[in-house]
Amino acid sequence: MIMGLFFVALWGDTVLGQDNKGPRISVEGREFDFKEVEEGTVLEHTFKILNIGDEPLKIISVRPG
Amino acid sequence: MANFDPAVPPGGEGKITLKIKTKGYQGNLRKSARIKTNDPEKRNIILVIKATVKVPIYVSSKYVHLYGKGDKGAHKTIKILAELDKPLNLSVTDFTLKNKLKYAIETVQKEKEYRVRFTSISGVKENFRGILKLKTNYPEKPEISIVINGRFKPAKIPSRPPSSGIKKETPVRGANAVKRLFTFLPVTSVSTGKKGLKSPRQWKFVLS
Repeated sequence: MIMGLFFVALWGDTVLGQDNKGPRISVEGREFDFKEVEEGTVLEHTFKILNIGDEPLKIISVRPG
Repeated sequence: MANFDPAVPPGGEGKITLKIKTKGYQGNLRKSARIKTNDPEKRNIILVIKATVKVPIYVSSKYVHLYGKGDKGAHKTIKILAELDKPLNLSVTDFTLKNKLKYAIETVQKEKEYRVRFTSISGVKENFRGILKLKTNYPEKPEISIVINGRFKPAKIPSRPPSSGIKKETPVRGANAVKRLFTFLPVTSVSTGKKGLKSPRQWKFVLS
């Protein structure tokens, strides 16, 4: 029983803990559809990014392509 | 165009803003941006913006390419469609290829859909580039320009120059060229640090 709890604690610490180690990006919706727009309008959308890690997240570059 | 926060602290929130101009587009528009991050598991992320760009007048193509092959004529058709719920009328204001190309505007659906048909003129053996300008009764889109590219000049086949007696070596392309890059040589001894590995079946890979 004690061994079991110890194992679960260890497993939680290593597996779940490791998940958020370092910089970790999470984006809410990677695709955005404006649906119908008139020609000539300028479309602008802001994507929210979250750092769910424990180290600073760097956005190195954003390139259209 | 893009604006973004270069760094996001742990537990924090950042923004990436993408901006797209829709001028000159019609129909489905899809633009993506590649985001490079220092997240070891997500070094690249693709963000996508989609839209359906509505135009007052749909033109199937603003560029026409006509290629002549031998004596065969060439023709291309463009569709022009009114997307607004009101009658559309067209009239030609300019055509710069009068003696090189013929065009005809056909009505498919009265005041709604038209077809512009470009046909080559036999005997014209040159390359050309020109424009057809149409005036419309839509204040939202008063003019339609169609750029035309024609290639009717027969391609010159260069005659073989007389042999000067000295053969110039031309680089070999294809499989042979790859073969020449390296050769296999038999290895008489292998320096693995272990004894007893001498074998006549071992080969050395030498890049030449």
